[in-house]
Amino acid sequence: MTPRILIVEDDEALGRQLADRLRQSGFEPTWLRDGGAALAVDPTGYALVVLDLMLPGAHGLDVLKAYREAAAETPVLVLSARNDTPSKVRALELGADDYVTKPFWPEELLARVQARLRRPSLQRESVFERGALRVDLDARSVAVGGAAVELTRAEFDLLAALVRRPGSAVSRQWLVEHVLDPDREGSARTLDVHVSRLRRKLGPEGGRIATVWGVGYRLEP
Amino acid sequence: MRLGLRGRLLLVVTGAGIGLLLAVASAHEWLASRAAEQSLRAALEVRVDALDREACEAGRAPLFGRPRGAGFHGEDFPRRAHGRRRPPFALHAYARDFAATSGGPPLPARLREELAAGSGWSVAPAGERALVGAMPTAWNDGPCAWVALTLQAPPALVPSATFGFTAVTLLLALGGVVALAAGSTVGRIRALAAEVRAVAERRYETRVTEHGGDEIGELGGAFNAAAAAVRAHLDEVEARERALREFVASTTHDVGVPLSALAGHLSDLREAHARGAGPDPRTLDSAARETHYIGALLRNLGAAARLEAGEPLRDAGDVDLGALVERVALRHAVLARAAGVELGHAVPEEAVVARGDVTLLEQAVDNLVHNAIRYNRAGGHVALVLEAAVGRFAIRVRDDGPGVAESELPRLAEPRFRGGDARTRRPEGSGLGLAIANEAAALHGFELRLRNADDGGFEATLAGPAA
Repeated sequence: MTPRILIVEDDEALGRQLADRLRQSGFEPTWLRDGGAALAVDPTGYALVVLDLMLPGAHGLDVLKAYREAAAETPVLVLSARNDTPSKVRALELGADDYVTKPFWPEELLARVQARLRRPSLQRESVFERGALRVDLDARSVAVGGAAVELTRAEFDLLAALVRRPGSAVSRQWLVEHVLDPDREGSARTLDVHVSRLRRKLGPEGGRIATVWGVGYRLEP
Repeated sequence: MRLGLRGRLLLVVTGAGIGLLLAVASAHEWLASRAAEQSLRAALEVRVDALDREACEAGRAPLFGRPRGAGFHGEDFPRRAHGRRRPPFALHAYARDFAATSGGPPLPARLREELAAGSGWSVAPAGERALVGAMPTAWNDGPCAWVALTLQAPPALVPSATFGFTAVTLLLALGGVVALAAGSTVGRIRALAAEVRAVAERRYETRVTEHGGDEIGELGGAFNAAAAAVRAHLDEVEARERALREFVASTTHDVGVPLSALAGHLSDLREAHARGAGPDPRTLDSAARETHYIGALLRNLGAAARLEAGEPLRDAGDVDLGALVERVALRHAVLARAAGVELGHAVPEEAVVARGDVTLLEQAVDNLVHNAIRYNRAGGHVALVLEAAVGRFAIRVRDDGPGVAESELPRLAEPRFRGGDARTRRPEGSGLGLAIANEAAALHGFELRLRNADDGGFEATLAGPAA
């Protein structure tokens, strides 16, 4: 089902761009230009609300308050030209889920919308499957194309750390501290050795483990 | 109409003077009438003591005074040398029932009542300008039971012309003295007022003369102190206004340059389109960079305004540094792509929180990442990593760009946004961004380390205690 998104933005150009961009990205946007009209809407019918603060008819914070008083759980992403902490704190206190300051790039807003709808981002299921790769975190077993792959404890912990957050890089420092045994092999150089062994053992799926320059490693989703 | 100081003083002095004179006059009158009564009684007592019953009953002259017709009219005392007239006395006899036996005037009722009640002496006004005193004779019987003495024209009842004249003269003299004294004070106050107006017209750059150690001198001193404070405040406001003007001017320049570049890119794209050519990706990327630059500039101006005000950290709260790093990375994804720079980032699985102002901290990290991308080359890398260990956090921004000349390093984070030649324009320096990052870190008590990485490139680290 296409997620419905309510946009409340009085600026014609910005509102149109947002609506177009969200539609292109697979959402079903509804665009309102007026705060009063936004007050009349039941937010529960939407997956997310993008709410500008400076609106004709009613102030965005009043709209936000009304939505929260209606006990709606719909996430609200506030758009504001005010880049100061008290404004942000106030919006979050009134129940906003995120705060995006203008100017922003459409990509930035889209990513924030997707992040909000995707949460929680941590991998909750114990089994991760991509392509031929299958990782069972609970059973601590790994298979590529159905064939079991034997991994050392460090190699498995390394893979598990990446699997828990697919698509996000994990820093070398974090991996060294959390994956390697500090008594025996706690150095960054050792980590690289473990990664290259892991890649080799995963065969064709080894390429999923990408090196991120200056950061660490990432499992391509 | 408003009464001047001089007028008010005159009014007060005249009112008080008249009141005082009236009080003195009435006291004078009371004392004089007491004196007349006393002298009347003394005169009467002398006569009664020396009175011969037979002579009195026969209607003959008593001891003092000459007989005048049926009564005793006498000028008992000789005239004074300077000729002031002594009041004349007239002694008359009355029967026990107060019938006049020597042709005297009837006695006033009050006097008769008092004598009949047994009073040894009584006095009462008789007519308009006379006092009559009476007492019993030693025998108090027959046609000469009482004697009365009339004192004509007692001087106390009418204030003398001399007294009135003296009073008026005194009053006038007092008024004159007051007017003169007030005149000099009023003159000095007026002069001071004129000086104050002149000083105000010269925008408090001069002082008024402080002469005299009295209250007016003090007033001048107080005004000078107030004027100095006003001047200092004006200087401060004017300096701030000047700084603001320069700030607006340099901001206009700073925003104007990338906007012009952006306009140029758009115009290029339009021409390419008119020629039927597709958009040049390099032009698109440049346009994206300029747009990004303008956005960063706006954010920094807001942060600079707050930092420059020198206020303490007011809006501190718990800042989720992981979320902050994610936002900064997301914000710079477009710029990095346009610059052909690969931007990678990582945050730990567990939350890392620090106490601080989220807007300022985010701006600081924004600037570090923005610089790392801007000064890199196409094909370069930027890494943004949040690390946490033993109660501390570190946000590390590394690049594989050209780095910074060692001699330039110490100057990098100098607060160059203060003052007139505030912000240096790229590509000459990092300008506003690093200075703001440095100020924001200092405000939080965090540390900003800037150095060239061992294996090339530049590394900036913002570190501090985790909450």
